[in-house]
Amino acid sequence: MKAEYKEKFLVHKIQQMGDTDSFATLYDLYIQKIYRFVYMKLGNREEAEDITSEVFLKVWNYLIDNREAVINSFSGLIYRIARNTLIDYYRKNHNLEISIEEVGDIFAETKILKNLGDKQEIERVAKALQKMKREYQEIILLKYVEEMSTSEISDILQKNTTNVRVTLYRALKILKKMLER
Amino acid sequence: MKRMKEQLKNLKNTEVLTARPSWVLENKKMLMSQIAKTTVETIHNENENILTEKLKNIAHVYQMLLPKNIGRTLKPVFTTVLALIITSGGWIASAYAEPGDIMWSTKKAISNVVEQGQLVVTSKENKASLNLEFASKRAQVLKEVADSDANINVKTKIIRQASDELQQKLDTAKEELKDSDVIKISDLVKDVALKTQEISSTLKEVASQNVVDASLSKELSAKAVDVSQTSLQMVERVLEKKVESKTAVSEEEKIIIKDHLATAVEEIKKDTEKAKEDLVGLSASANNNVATSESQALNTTSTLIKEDVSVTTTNTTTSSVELKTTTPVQDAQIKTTELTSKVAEMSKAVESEKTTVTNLVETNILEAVKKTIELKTSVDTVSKEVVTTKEQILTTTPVIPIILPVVNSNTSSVVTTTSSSVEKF
Repeated sequence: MKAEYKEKFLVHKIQQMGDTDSFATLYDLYIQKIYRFVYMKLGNREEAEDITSEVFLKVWNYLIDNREAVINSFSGLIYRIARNTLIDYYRKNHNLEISIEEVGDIFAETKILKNLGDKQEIERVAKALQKMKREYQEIILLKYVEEMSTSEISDILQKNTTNVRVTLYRALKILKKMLER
Repeated sequence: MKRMKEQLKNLKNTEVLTARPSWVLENKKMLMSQIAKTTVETIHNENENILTEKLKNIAHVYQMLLPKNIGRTLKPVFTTVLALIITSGGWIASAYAEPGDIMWSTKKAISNVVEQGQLVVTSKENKASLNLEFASKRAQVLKEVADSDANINVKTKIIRQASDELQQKLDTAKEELKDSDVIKISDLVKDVALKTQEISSTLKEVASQNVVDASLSKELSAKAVDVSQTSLQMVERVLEKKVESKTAVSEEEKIIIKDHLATAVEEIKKDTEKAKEDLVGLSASANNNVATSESQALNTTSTLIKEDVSVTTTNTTTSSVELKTTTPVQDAQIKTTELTSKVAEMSKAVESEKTTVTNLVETNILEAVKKTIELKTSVDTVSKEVVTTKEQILTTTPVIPIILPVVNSNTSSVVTTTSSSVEKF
C-alpha cells in the first residue's frame, strides 16, 4: 500500500476506533523526524524530548477530539502541531531561546559522521542555519534535512507552492551568502 | 550550492540530531499508557446507533481516500471503483472485528493473504525486513487480544497462535538476512534493534497480565527471552555482512547498536539478580525440606536399627553393613548448592564482561555483540536450570529416605528383615 494511503488508514482507525496500535505505528514513523525538527530549534536534548512527547500527545488528542475531520496529510498535521507547540514554548520561555554561541558548542561537542566532511564546515552550516529567520530555517530544514516535497512543505507551512519555492530560493541564497562570509 | 545541500542533507545523521533509542521506547510506552485511558473514554462515549456509526466510518474512509485534486467529473468514477472494491472484498467489516467476533478469522485470513502477496512481490533482499514487520504486527495482535474482552479460551487460542507465528516470522527474518543486500541492511539495524526490543517487551507484558493460562504465560516469558537472543543474533549477522563487504558501520548504527547492547546487558544483569533471588528462596525451602525429612528419617532409622540388632544377634555371618541414603529432597539441596555457586560465578562474569562489552563497543562492535550473545546464552541456561530446580523443589514434598543396608551375598536374612521393617514403618 502506498505510504500516504497507509498513513490515512491509520489516522482513520485512530479517529474512528481510538486504535492505539495505529498510533504506535505512526509514532515509529515520525518520532525521529519530529525530534530532529524540535531539537534543531531548541538545541537541548531534555527539552527537545519533552516537547516531542508533548507533540505526539497533542496529535492523539486532536485526532480523538476531531473524529469527523478529514486529515489529508498526517505529516502536515504533526509538523503544524510541532510548530505551534514550539511557538507556545518560545512565548512561555522567551529567555530560553538558544544563543548562536551555544549552537556552535552543541555541534562542536558531537561526533559527526565521517562522510560529512570537515567538522568545522558542519558547525558553520549549523550556526548559519540557527542565525536565519525562523521562516527560512524551517523551510530549509523541511526541504533538505527531511527531504520533503514542495507540496508537503506547503501543507505544513500553509502557504501555496509558489510561495514555498520563492521562500526556499531566498533562504538558500541567504544561507549561501552567510557561508561565504 | 550542491555541496551545501549535501551537507544539509547529512545533518540529520549527526548523533545529536538522533533521539536516543532508549528514550524513544520509554516515551512510546509512557504515551501508550497515557492514551490508553483516552481510548476507554472514547469507547464509552460511542454512539449507540451502530449502523449510523458504520455508515459514518465508510463516509470517512471515502473522504480520506478521495484524492485531493480530483476533478468533479472523475468523482463518480472514483466512487464506483471504490464501491466495487468494498462490496467485493468485505474488508471494511472485518477491519473492525474484535478478537472472538465472527469476522475475526476473516480479518486474519485477509491479512495472511495480503502478507503472502507482499512476500511474493518483494525482492529477496527485502524479505527479512518484511518478515520483521510481520513479527512486529503479531506482537501488536498479542497485545490487542490480551486487552480485549474476549473470554480466556479465545484469548489463549489466539495468543498461542499469534506467538507461534511471531516466532516463525522472526526466525524466517533471521534466516533471510543471509540474502539481504548490504545497503538495505543499514536500515535493518534500526528495525532489528527497535522492533525486537518492542516485541520482547510486549511478550513480557502479555505474560505478566495473567490473561491466559499459566502454561502459556510461561511460554510467552520464555519466548520473550528467545526474542532478545534472536535480536542480538540478527544484529550480529548484519554486522558480519558489513565486515564481509567491507562496509563501514555508520555513527547512527553505532548509536543504535550501543543502546541495544546496553539494554541487553541490563536485561542480563536483571536475569542474574532474579536467579539469585530465586536461589535464596530455593535454599530456604530445600533446607526446610531436608530438615523435615531428616527428622522423619531419624525415627525410621532408629526403628530399623532396633530390628537389625535383633537380626545380627541371631545371624553371625553378617560381615559389614553400609548405609546408603538417596532422597529427591537431598538431591535438590545438592543441586541448589551447585546452582548457588554457578550463579555467583555468573554474577561476577556479568560484571567483568559488562566492562569488556563497553570497551569493545568503541573498538570492535561485532566482537562486543558476540560477547553479549555468549554472556546471554550462559545466563539464560543457568536461569532455566534455576527455574527447573525451583519447580522440582516446589513439587517435591518431604519424603522418608529409604535406607538400604548394603550387605554381602550371604546375608540374605538381613535384607529380608530390613525390607519388612520398612513395610512395617
